[in-house]
Amino acid sequence: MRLYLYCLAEKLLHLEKSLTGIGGKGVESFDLEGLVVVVSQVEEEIVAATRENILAHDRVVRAAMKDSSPLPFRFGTLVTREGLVSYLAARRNSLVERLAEVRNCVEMSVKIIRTSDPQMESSNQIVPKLDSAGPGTAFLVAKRRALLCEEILSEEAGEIARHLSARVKSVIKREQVTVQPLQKLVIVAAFLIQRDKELEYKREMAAFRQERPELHFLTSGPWPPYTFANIDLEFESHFGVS
Amino acid sequence: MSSPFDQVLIGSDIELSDDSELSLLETLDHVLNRGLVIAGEITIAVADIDLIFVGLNVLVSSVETANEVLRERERRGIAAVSPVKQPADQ
Repeated sequence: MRLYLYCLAEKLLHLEKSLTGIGGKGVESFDLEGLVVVVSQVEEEIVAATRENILAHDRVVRAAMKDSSPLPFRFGTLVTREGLVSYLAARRNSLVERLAEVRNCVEMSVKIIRTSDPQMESSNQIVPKLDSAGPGTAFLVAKRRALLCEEILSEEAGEIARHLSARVKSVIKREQVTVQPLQKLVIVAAFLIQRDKELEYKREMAAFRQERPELHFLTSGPWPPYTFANIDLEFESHFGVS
Repeated sequence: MSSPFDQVLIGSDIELSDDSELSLLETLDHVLNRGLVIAGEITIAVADIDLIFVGLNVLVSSVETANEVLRERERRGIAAVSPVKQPADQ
């Protein structure tokens, strides 16, 4: 028998009896090493990544989020009870700190899509095409243009990320901003905000959208703090990193 | 027929509704890519979920790829995606 892990919480949760987890299994929460774990007992050694199971995982974490701010486990985490006790004992302090950090918080997600390629025009102006150039020169010119494009894209993407962070700075607690200068999906950001700041956050995002009409946005939330749960892989904002 | 990715391209903003396919992709992004990890304790089977992983790749790669995949799905008559809700303030 193994335990499928959904999330960790600070206090015992009142989960509805009808709540089902992966594979339609029952969900329970109990105290272990001073922390509350939300689990299903399973026989399997492996979890099928089906649409139903993935949605069930999120459904259970969201149910836990109703009266707590849990640290969600990544999908597919199966452990023995002994393994879980050992993990919690070894990481207890870090987990308690992280739970305190996400207390009363939710995660908001923003993806920013760039739809035009103005940098191509800029690079063509700075490095004009040479119709009469030989193959060697043409190669070097093309190479230079490509490098210049990357530079311009990185600069633009970094500027968008800095603008976004500055706009929401007053309403967020933490952020994780990934900049992908060479892709159209140029910014993938997650913000940790207090639950009572949600409206304020949405107002700031609306203002940001108005300030950047050339960009398109995919916004979602509130989410359980998936992005801010991990204590082993610390995320930092990194601007202009491809 | 326009896809939600067309709307991403054309509209100035998309706020996800609970029932859109983009919402499912966002859920997948969070549940599969993020969260607390106990090293070595994640074992998942990925058989029979081609569409899910096509979706994930779409989300993290490019809008063009997304449109290409969705057009192909429409061409093959696979159920259309749900419309994406536009925010009230737009």
